[in-house]
Amino acid sequence: MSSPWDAFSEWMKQNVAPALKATLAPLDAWIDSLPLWTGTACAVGLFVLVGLWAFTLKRSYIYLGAPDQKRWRDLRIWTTLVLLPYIIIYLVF
Amino acid sequence: MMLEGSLLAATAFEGSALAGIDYVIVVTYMLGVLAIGTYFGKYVRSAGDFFLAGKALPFWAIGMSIVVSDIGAIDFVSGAGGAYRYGISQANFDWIGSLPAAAIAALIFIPYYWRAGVYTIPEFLGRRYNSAVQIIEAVLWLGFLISMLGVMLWATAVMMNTVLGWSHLQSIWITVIIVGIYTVSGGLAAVVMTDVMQMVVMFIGAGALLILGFSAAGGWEGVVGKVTSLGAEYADHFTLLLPHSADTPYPWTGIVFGLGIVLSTAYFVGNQAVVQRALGARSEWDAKAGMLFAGFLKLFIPILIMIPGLAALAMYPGLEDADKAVPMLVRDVLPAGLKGLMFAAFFAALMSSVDSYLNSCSTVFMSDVYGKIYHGIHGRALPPRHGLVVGRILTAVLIIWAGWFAPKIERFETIYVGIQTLLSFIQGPTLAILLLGILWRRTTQWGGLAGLVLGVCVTVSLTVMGDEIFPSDNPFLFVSFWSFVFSMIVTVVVSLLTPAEPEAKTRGLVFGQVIHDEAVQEALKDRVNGP
Repeated sequence: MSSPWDAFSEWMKQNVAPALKATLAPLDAWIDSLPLWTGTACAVGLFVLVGLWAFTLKRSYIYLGAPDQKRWRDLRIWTTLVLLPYIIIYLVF
Repeated sequence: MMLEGSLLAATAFEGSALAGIDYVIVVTYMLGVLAIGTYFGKYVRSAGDFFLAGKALPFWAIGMSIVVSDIGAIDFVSGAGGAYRYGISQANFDWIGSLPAAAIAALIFIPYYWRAGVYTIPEFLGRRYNSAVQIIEAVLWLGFLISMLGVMLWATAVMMNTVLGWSHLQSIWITVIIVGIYTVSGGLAAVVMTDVMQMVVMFIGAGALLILGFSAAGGWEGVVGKVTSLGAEYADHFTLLLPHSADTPYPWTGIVFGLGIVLSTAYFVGNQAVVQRALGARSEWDAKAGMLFAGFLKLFIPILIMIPGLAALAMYPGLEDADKAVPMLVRDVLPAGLKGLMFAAFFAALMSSVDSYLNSCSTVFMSDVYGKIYHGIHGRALPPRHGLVVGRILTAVLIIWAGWFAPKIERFETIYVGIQTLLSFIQGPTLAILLLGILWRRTTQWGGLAGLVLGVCVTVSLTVMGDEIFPSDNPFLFVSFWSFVFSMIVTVVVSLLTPAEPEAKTRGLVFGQVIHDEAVQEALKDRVNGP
């Protein structure tokens, strides 16, 4: 005898999965048609977007709580420096 | 899974008994951790000192602690095993799986939590939404953390039994005593500072394995040459992002959208063990910088932990069980002394996770269960001294309970797996309500509750049908992305259909206000400086 969980799984697979699969099929086909560098562009784009967004934040917000206003404490620069090796890695590999 | 990983890690030392110098290193390491941990006990005078390290943590300690708490002995084994099987795409979990998220956490979420003065994520959700959301989150987290404590202690015992020959019970109670003494005494400060020491040990041990492993396998060029010559199935072993329809659990769409946007952000902004360290920062700047520093350190984790799996593939191709690759490498390339250091690194990985989970577990219980009950009975917040005494007793009870529970863990495996699965179901929905709760003042308590509950239902349904509808055998990355999108939509729609929250309720809990409204910050000051 199947458990309620198994019965639920079976029901979902038979009644809901086909409709969802048909809905997602055009999206899957479109993504499949894209060249692989699209993935690299999306990943690198994500890093670059975050890096650029950091520079939209106010200087006063970035330094809040810092004991001084020295340049090395600017977290916008930290964000860029931390992102840079990741961007290089995703471009190379 | 963790138990198997621990056993496999232990096999690295089998057949090549530890030398005298190895035992000296292991015992010195244990005593060092105990000494550093208990030293911080003298600074603990209130619940705030105990649970949030008196808000005195510097950024570098926060960053190191976040990274080391995330790595268990299992990662040394299964991470490298994944690299052996799938190549460097395994590294995505620490690369794109950490950095955009760490920056977003550092610059949006952490300052917001820090200024709101909360102790836990469920507490924050309770304040922003309602008690139902807080209780659902707190109960799930408590169940997960408590069961994980028992599992990790048992995993430690399995490893110590294999390597040092101590019985399981001896191994469990030695770990309970060491971790218990410094965590009960020093609280979060002791946990974080021992984590710093544990990270240094882990980096040295794993670094030695990386250098000696690659040297034995012919260097980077040698490894690339040998692996690519193994056949067409290894052609993608040096590619990070794999095709959408590739026969792998990690197609690029799942990695970028499921991992890079949803799961990693949910981990960095919604995991109590991570956020608690930032909440203990000595300033808001240190909280933000600590998170960014963690993102930087994460860069090295795949290099130290996963890439040795490629050296092992070059040296031992065709292994049926890829998780045995690194244990074999340890056995064959590390000399006496470094073997002891590597064992200390495995032990450090386990201990740092045990102490972090223990501290987080007692914090969630104190803040979201005991604190609420106390407030309900007495009509006022928990006094700092009372919170400290109860927090210490609770921490001691939890670790003793975990020690008692650990040997029985295999009998409760179904419960453990169930809780872990349930927690994985709430990642996407939790991120959705956190994000909307912070960025959109119009989000209502009913929108948050509906987003969380219906989001979990959709996650369960998608998980059930996952292999039928997504292009991967292990579709959790796609499931998390779509459940996040669904929860966002539900939260927005229900919020718009229900009355807006009064301004007084959301005051100080919405990001724009926290940044710009001086009056709000004044109102938050008492809470931030309180227990």
